[in-house]
Amino acid sequence: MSKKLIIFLIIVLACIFQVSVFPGVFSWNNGPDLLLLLVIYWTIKEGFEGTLGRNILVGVLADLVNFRPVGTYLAIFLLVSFLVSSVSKRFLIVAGIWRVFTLTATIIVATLAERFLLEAIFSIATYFNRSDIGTVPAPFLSLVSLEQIFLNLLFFPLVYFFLKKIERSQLWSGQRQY
Amino acid sequence: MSGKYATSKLAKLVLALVVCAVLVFSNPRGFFDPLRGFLLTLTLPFQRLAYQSTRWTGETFSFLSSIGDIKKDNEDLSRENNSLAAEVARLKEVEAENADLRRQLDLAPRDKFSLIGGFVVGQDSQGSESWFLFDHGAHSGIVLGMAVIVDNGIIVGRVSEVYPTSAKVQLLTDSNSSVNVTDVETGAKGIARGVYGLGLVMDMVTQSDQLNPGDTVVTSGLGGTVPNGLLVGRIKDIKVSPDRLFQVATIIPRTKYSALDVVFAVK
Repeated sequence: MSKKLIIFLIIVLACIFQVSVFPGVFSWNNGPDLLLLLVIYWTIKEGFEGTLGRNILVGVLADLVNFRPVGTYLAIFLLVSFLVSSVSKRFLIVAGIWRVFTLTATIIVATLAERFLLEAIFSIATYFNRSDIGTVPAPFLSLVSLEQIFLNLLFFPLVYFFLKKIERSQLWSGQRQY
Repeated sequence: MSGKYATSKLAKLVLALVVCAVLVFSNPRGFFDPLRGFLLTLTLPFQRLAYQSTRWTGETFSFLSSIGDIKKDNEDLSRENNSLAAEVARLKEVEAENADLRRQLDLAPRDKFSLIGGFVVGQDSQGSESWFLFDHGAHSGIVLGMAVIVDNGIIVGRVSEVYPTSAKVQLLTDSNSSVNVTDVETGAKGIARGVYGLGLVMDMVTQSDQLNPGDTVVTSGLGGTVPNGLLVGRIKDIKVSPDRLFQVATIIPRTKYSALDVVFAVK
């Protein structure tokens, strides 16, 4: 199966989980942001420019399924990807336990950056009387943000190992085993 | 060399952000809506399956964890049953009087709405109860602005976007939502607005109108878009607005918006 098709299916699956599974499981309709975790994983692995196309697809699909104007999550994920790429090049080259701490800090900062940028975009829209663009979800400094940080940290290993397994499988490499 | 690379990376980011800003603030809904409609049509069966499976699993776990409380609940329910039997006898008389008053006040009979029933297949996942996805769309007769209810006339929101096979329903708790309402006990009129997707207030009530904690709030039908008589909730407390011109009451919704399953669009 084509690598691009697999990536597309993974992103669509993440969208379905985010909209149709997690709101029914977690309090405040707040679940882990699988799309953000995908962006973080791919950026750490392949850098900002290597994953630009992929992150654009994630952003567009996130905007479509969350009924946001196209460009909202797109801008946020590109900025987060740039931030993660800058951090990973400088700090994620260390080995051992420090790598885990740095990765944890990266996920926390990326989650906070996403919520901050979301609130900033909609606050600007509200200032210019453009409530059609959207309204601020839960405030940036709230228990909802803390819960999302915790859930993202909890789910990142699951996303990491799932994607690693897919990448090692025959589907990814397209090679047949005889 | 690394300087040129950083500049190239930054240039791409800035260019992408400029395009995003133009897209967001021009918000060309007509351009992307067909794509959104196609994506929703494609994912609808999977979303329906995923949402129903999650709800079923949640209810099963909830049942299993509540087994220990069954004996106590049983005793409480027996006591309540006895007092309710007496209440039923009294209410039969009140029901007849209610029907007569409704005829006189021209309020919509609760069982007379023309409804399109369906399931919730997705919800807002960003930590606020702002919208949910309804599994019926334009092909089923859903139109923009339709009121959406649960049970026997409890309004939960209005249709805000319509696609061929699904529709987005804006909940009453969404910050952009506003519905004309009235206090049943006192007749005070106001507007029910959402607050960050987390709560509901009755705003723009004049100082001369009376509001009491515990009063029932229903839709007033003013504006003509939402039928009158749909239950919104109960008043919890009353404050004065920051400009001191109006009263603002916090409303406790009658139903839990995060636990919606079967809903009905009112034609």
